[in-house]
Amino acid sequence: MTDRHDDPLEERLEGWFAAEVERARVDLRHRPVGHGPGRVAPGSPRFGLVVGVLIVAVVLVGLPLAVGRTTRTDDSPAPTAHPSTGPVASPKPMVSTIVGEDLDVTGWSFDGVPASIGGERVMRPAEWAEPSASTIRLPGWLLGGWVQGFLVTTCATGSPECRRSVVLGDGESNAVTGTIPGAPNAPPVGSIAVYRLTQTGSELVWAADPAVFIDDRFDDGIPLHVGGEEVIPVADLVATLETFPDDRSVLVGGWAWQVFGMRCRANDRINRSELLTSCDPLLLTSQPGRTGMNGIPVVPKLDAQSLPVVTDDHRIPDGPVILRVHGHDARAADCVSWLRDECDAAVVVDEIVWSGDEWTETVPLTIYDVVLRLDAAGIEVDLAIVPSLDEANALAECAADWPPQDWQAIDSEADDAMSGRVSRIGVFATTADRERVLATLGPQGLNDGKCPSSLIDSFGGSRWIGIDNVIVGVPFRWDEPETDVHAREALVREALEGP
Amino acid sequence: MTRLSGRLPARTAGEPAATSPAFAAEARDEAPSDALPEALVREEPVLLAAARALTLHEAAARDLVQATFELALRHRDQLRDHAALRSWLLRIQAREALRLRRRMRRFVKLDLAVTQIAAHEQAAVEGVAIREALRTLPPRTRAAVVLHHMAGLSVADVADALGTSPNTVKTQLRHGLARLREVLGDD
Repeated sequence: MTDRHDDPLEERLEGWFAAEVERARVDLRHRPVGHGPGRVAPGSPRFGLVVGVLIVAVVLVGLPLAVGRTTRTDDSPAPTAHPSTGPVASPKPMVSTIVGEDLDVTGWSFDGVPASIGGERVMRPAEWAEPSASTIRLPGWLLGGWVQGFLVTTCATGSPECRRSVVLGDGESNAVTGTIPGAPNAPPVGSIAVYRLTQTGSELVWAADPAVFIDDRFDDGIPLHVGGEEVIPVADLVATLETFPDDRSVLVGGWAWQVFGMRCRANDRINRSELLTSCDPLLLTSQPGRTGMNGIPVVPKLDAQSLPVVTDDHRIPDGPVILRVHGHDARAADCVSWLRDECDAAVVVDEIVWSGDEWTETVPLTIYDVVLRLDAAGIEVDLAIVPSLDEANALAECAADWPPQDWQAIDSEADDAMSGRVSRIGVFATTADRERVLATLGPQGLNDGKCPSSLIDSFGGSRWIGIDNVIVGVPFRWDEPETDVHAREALVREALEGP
Repeated sequence: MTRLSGRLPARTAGEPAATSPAFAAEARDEAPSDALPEALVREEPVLLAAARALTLHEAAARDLVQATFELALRHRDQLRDHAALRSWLLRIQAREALRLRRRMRRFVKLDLAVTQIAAHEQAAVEGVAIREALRTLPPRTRAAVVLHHMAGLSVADVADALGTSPNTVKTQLRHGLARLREVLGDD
């Protein structure tokens, strides 16, 4: 049944891979016992234990999240949990230094936390909790994990005695809690942090200004995990909820907005269940384009990429969000029979877990602002994130500070990005960042010793317009009259400058 | 998967059925949940071979296979078609490989060592040549070539694994093969 090919190269690759599989089988047969610390082969006696631990971890994963939700980012001292109420009580080391941005990561754990930095091993919260580890909980050790949440010590408002604590966990049931002195600029919940321990006394203290952490995100800036719990993309939500037999919840990340001006469905149908959306639904989508905010009438596509979300009590902000949602809501049983399936499939929001941070809240403009300004000028765009590691993204390779928010913009009146009025939108953290990077690009996307534009080809290229912290590519064709290109540039520039 | 099972080495007596033509049929008969750990053992050689081709780094490949196992166990309830286990695992592995690369790229420059292989055997020479040719491909193109032309995933499955469209994958495969042909001098 060997599949024969006309192409000798394909056959050569297949043959080599078959030999590689055979080599792998031999290697695995002769692998060292344990093959590395913490490694568990599926056939080993420890394997069943790991399966059990993973299942328990899934069950327990919500616990540390609850800690983070109650106190995160509240600047004023509040009467909340005591710092010692972390998921696992542990000795409290003094921590005063966070490993910096120039960290030399020399190894990674499977969950993305550095395993070693500059040759130094990074301890994990589970190890910290082990009584046998007491001899290695010494000043100078590194401790790494997920930032699971924050606690604020009970105290009088304004008291200098008030202290905030951060919970550093491993996404399972292990966590180490410590105090942050002063007014911390703490890493966001869900990020990975590595701290250097300087004191292992009765109290744990983190550094006041953690400058660096590892933020694990989708290409559009939405975190991949919150407190170690996986966030699924909108596109996977329906299929995921369908696999659940009950109303268990998941975290979903996407872009939310309240659509106004949407034509209502027949009232007699909608009024039969509160699970079904009515007029002006809130939508969760996989991209921030095609918005209908601020009274701009649109008819959204109600497909797997654009889900109607029923909220009970929450006002969900427009923009990137992570929501805890569930399907198979109990209220579906109250629906009339011919609507029951639709009710059962409704996505119900339990809570807002995350609604943007310094990554997505760019200054002064966000991607939403740009879309709205273009939209107001009659330029409707459909956006798709350009992964910074896409091999076609030469700009990201060339321009050192190319923004993570790098969107391909397809004009609704065009067939593709290069035949519309805009082709690409890059949103920088600040205006200064944008100015610095724009100076490294060829003015017309030409390779004039500066970074070349990846949009250049034999048909045309893009010219870059910089406004505040945003650059927008305006496509042109080589055979196009210059006056037409100038007119398009002027239109886009005027739109971006806004009211 | 039929395409894959047909071109891999025949099953050796006493060996797991990881690469035998009969594997897909066997897999279909298995109980999905209880048999997963055993199925992972059978799939490990294919996963390791693919991981080596994706990462071109022995330690990273071993870690990647381990991460794939752990992800598979965490998300075992998402495996609907047990006959498609290998495809499912390879997609998990490819996504994880790209995710890890993206994360590491943000902080460190990886300078992966070239695998040391004794070059006196013809098979080893072939291996070095193909590995070095794969190294010249951009990561996502390399992943597309490995998953489709080596591990036998369909274009649609490769697109799913890489989070892109089938047309993009086809383009990557075309460019990837052209580049390999050029480097390997295989006309």
